[in-house]
Amino acid sequence: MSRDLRMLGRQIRHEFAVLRGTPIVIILAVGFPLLFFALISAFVGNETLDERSGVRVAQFLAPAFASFGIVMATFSFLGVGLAEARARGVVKRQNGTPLPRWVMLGGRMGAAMLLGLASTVLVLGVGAVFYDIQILGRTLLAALVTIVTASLAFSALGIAVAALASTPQVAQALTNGLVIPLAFVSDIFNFGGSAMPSWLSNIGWAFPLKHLVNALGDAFNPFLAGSGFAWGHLAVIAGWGVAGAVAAGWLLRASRETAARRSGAVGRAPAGDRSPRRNARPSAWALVLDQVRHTAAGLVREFEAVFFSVAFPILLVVLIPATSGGGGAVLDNGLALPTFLAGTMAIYGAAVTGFVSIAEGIADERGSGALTRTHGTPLPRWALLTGRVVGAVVVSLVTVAGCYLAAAVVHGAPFPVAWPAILFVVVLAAICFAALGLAVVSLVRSAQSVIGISLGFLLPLSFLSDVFIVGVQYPAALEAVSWVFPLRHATASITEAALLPTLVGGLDPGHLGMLVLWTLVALLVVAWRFAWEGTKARARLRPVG
Amino acid sequence: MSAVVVQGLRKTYGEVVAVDGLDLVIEPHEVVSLLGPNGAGKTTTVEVLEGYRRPDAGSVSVLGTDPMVGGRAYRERIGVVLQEAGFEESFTPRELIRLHAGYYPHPRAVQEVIDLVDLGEKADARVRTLSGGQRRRLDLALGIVGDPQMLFLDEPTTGFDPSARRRAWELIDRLRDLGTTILLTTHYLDEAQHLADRVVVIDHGTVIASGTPEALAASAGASTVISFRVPEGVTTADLPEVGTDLRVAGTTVEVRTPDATRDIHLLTGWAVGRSLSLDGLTLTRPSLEDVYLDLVGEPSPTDETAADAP
Repeated sequence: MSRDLRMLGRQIRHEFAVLRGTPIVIILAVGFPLLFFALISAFVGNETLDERSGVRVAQFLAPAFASFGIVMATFSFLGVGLAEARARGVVKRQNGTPLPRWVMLGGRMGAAMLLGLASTVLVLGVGAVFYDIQILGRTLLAALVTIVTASLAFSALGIAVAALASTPQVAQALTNGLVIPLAFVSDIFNFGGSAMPSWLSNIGWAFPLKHLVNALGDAFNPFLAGSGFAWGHLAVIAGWGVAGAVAAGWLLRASRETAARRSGAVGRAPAGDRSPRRNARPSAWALVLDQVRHTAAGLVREFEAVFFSVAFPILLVVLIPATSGGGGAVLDNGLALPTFLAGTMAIYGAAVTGFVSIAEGIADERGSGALTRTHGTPLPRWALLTGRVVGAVVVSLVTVAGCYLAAAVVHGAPFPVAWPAILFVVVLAAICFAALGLAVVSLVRSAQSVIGISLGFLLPLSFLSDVFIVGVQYPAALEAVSWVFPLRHATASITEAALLPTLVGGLDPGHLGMLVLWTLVALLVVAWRFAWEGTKARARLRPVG
Repeated sequence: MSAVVVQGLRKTYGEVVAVDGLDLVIEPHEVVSLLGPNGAGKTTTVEVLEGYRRPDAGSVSVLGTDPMVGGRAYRERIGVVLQEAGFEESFTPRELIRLHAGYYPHPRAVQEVIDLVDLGEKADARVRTLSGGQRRRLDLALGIVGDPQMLFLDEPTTGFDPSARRRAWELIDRLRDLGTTILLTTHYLDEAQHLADRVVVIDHGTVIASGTPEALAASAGASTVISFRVPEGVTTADLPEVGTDLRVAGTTVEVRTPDATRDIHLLTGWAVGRSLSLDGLTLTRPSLEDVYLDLVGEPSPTDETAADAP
């Protein structure tokens, strides 16, 4: 038994090292809760709620964000990690060793629990040092029991999802598709839930996340007497955990049987694949359409791309008004805050899609040599690049729809009358950013440098360009710099478009002209400098000896 | 008209001369294998023919077209399997084959290609789950989906297990039967011997020998090898004078001879006369490998270190 426990210890250490070495895991399970906790505590001013005890707002924010870290670590990443290990054959290899199955799963659960705990400790630690959070000795045990119970329950659910999902992509879609929307109705991003319709709030109560947030909140609530145990919430969490464990056990057995059956089966070919597609040179239209579909599919399959260019902007549209004056807040220019944010976030999403994701995608393809292969096919360069740009436009349109929909559903902001003008600005901006992304790829050969340059430009510029915050006066030199680049012209265009209640809105030819100008410059750079081969391919082609 | 005509091709990278006055003619429906050591200029030659590299000097014509100016119309008629190229990992083989099929005017059916390269089992799995050999088969699939008249294969079976290699050979044989002209580079002499109608050996950027595998072997003339074990109580000095080059390894003797008939007669007559038996007596025709090693020379250890340096 003690040998098995030592084995479990080693397995946990190994799985923890795997998690630590995966940037997206660290960003979303640790960095994201910490960053948002710090940001929102700063945003809402961290008021003192009770002069006598010195309790501040952050006292109630910290457990919510810690909960987010825990669910990300123990549900999402455990599920996705297990599904990936299965797809890559890691689980199969482990099954061929004497490693007991419970140690294999236990190692993953233990590592996920450690990660959730690390996230919690960081949030609370930062809270204690910078935002005067009080950590109460009498409720420490309750906090710990809550965290462990929830970790076990979410782990069981995560394993069930991994067993249910046929591929890691499905696992990713299932876990994040559940957690991120649930976070909104589970008192994580909406504090107190006052702006939330009651049916949404009730949905939250049906799932364990809201119970975790509240149980942990109770454990850190200095106004409640006693040991801090929220038995009701804990019972719901435990119930979900047991259901998850039963489902996981059943699904794992079932999936082993189907896997055995499936390996012998031969897939049936779709009818379209059984005969040649065409018997003439493809039209320009067909070529571009194929490329657009391919680009959009590629973006949708990259979790990071979808998260940062679609989900993140929508999330901020929901989040920022909730923390700064509510959905009814009106800016100096007369625009409702959610409407304003829906526009600027759509622009931000378009910028991430075109300038970062498209550029990164093509730089990666070039680095791996996939682009060299494409170069050997009859696909013309213009069709490839047009497909990328239009693909970025398609994804940007999804983002803009999501942003205004979120503003309408969560904050009750009406759809702007000038929606044709807004769509026009988004399309123009998406073309401009994608063209600029391709220009960066044309000028810079290595994939790592491309992503560094595109993010290094976009993030600081976003703060100068009224994306996240409006009305901040920067030093004159910075202001001047911000007006050189297209991002601020794009946000200004979309804001002004929404101001007038006509179909064309308040479009400003000056701002639009700057977007067109940058697009033309970018296209010239691409035409002049675009290369199919990157530095790696060059090096490989140099003969030796 | 010949499928490929290369005259005086020269290509340098800075100081390094990769291809130095290379001539090559390939007839339609011919399968030609470029053979040569690392750095001999194989890949550079193929990449010039594919249109990836501009030659510094010489003339190149493939299917009657200059690859550098042939553009899209030229690439509609060729298929390219590069030595090393990645994939977009989040797609499935079927999706990528379908996408590539969309580039060509007369593509093969997607399912036909999947079956040809034997990827049926993995056709709908993400590329990132494919093994090395499966990736190489996907490479092949993308190279042939456009039903090319001329197919370039740069080391097509590197990394294949023996049975996968056999299957790839069958595929290439089938493509040849369908009339595709194929130029392949390879390190494997058995592969060249099996697949190629003609082998072109190049070294230091020029052709040093060319012909059918059999003709090449025959041209090496002197190297038919007689081998046998020296009978007990006999030293090599007692043997009759046979061949041009006699080597002893342990008790085994290897004799290279230009006139095997006469030398075998001498040897067996000598042995029978003394009531000796020549155990393990064999007569070996020169293999392509012998010819190849004769032609390019076995690299000395110092050469190898130099070749490994960047």
